[in-house]
Amino acid sequence: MIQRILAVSVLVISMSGLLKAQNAQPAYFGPIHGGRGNLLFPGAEEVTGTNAQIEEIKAEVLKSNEERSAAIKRKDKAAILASLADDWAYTNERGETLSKEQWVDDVLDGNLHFLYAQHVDVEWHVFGDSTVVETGRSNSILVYKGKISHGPRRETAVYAKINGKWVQVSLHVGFIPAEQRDFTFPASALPQ
Amino acid sequence: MTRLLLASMLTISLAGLVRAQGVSANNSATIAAIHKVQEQETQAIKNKDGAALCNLLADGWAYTNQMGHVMHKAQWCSEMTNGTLYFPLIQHEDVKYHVFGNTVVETGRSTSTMVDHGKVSFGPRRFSITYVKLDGQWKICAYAVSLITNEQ
Repeated sequence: MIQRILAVSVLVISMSGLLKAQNAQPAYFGPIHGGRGNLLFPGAEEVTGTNAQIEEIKAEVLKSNEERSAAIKRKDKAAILASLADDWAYTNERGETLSKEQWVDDVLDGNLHFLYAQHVDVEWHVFGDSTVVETGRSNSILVYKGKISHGPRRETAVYAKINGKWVQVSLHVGFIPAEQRDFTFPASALPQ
Repeated sequence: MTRLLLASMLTISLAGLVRAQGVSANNSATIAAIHKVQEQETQAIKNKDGAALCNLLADGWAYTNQMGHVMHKAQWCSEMTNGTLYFPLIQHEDVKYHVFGNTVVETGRSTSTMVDHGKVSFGPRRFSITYVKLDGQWKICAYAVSLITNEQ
């Protein structure tokens, strides 16, 4: 009898999970994130302080990111490429480096897409009038070549003002390895 | 220990050669200035001079390591000069400089040996280091390091 009740309970919980999944709206397109890519979110902590000039810089960088998000939505390859610097430096969480053309092709071909986006602990680091570094933690769920990646990840995006226009010059993404062998070696593991 | 130190110095020199291969003529002056900052950084660490090391880092310096930990510059300068965090072996490969006016991003692969709070990390890792020219002086403004997961 207990086994039967347990089996029914498990079935009900499983079905309720399925229903929730079907009804869930992807947060990726929600009002906070508003689009694809790495965003400088309003309200993020301002590590390097704030003043009128910094606020202006932040607004310009945000606008540039919104333009890239819009370009991705309408699959405008030329506009996406223009929002990334020539010689853009990209490293993903698997340790791969891609050129901007390769990355854009992956996005437009559907090899890389996001099911859910959540960035937290975002910090702005504004250096002078032409360099901005954004750091944060990503809990986003993405699909890359048919495989799902849940993260969590740490991200560092760098923006520079080139010829009067803000572009992303670098994006470095790394996993937060909750369980892995690194740093578990004792000091005696060092070569003599 | 001396052998280890010599091996480290040799590796650093070799890393310099690899770096030089990626330098275009147009950006050579910028890269040379970045190399100078790197030499000063090495010297400050060797001298255990936390103030000199911190002076090379921009205020608001951003650091994320391969464990996903973030650190502020005062803590970094302290740990790098008090023995908490050190590199018995430095080995960088596939180093590239991406020059964008007053912003430079150095990327590469690291198989350096790192000791942090008595625990050893061998990597391999990918790193991105960002430099910015502020008031005529190049400063390091961000480090991002991550593990190459399929090689762990």
